[in-house]
Amino acid sequence: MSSGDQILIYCIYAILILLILVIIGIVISRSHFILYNKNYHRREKTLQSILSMILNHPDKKKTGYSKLKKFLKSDKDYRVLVDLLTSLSYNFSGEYFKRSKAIYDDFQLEHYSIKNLGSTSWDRVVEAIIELSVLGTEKHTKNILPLLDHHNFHVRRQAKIAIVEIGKGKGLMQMEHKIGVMSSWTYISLLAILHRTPFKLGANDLDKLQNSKNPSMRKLSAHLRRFSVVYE
Amino acid sequence: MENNTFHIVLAEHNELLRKVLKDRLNIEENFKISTVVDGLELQAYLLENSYDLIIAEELLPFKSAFELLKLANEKNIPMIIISDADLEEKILEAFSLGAADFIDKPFSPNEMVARAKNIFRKRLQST
Repeated sequence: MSSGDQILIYCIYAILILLILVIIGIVISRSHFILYNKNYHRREKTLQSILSMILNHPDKKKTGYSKLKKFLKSDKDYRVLVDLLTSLSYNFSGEYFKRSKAIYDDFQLEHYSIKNLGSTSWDRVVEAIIELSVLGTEKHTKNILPLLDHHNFHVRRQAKIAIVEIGKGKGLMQMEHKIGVMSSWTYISLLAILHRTPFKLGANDLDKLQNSKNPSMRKLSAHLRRFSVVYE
Repeated sequence: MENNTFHIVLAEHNELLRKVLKDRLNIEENFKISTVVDGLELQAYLLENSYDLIIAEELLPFKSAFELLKLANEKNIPMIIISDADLEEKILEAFSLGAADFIDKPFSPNEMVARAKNIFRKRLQST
């Protein structure tokens, strides 16, 4: 066997060993991923049980809160909690909405959502906007307003909707000069929100919207003149 | 209905909502609750047993609640549909297909229980 052949055989051995190592690496990381997800799913179920107890048994609120405090350890726990509370508040009204919102407020989770508004990942920013539009209040429009200039289209669109959702007429006025180009989808979403919840708008504000430099805003104001309550 | 115990099937694909709604229904002493996660499972339940009430989310995976209304009516089981499409046509369609009640999202679980009790009360009065 020549030295060239020997080198070739060594190379084949090296490639085979490398291949085996890669396969072992994939198997280990995959099983780690599956185990992690399985464990986390178990933790999420515990969180669901705690939330259900707080929501269904207001007399056990103290116990539920202390269980929740013990449960919340990592950043991911907080993220999952905010996600679950958003889902509850989006689907429920009345006492169940109030109790979900109370958890969000009592655990000061708005800071978590506000922090995520500055995330580098656009989908995380959209999530945070939705959280604030479902669980936040009118005061959060000031946190969302700067996002009207965000480089990502999805963020800008969600920001417009959220500002009207939580700020109603006031929100609309705050972004009158900043709204930019509005897609049909955004326009219809805004109309749906405004039609769903009656709100008051001053005659001066309505005039301002009607004379806006933005054509979409002028179009929107024609609808508002018909449907919103105008007061002096 | 056994000794005034009402057997309810709750069909909801969202795990969290299913848990909260099931726990809420379980607060009522005379309610016995079974849960299903999709339309096919609900269909299998309907074919196998008889129940006093079905509470189903409209858009269940594989088969919607609307598709199962006919089967529920054949077995004389009232169905409450929960939907987030607050369109008049949708509500009218549900009632025309024989839904016992329609709940629009966002909704109150307490209201859902009150509506279920109302259906049971009417059933007891008519028997």
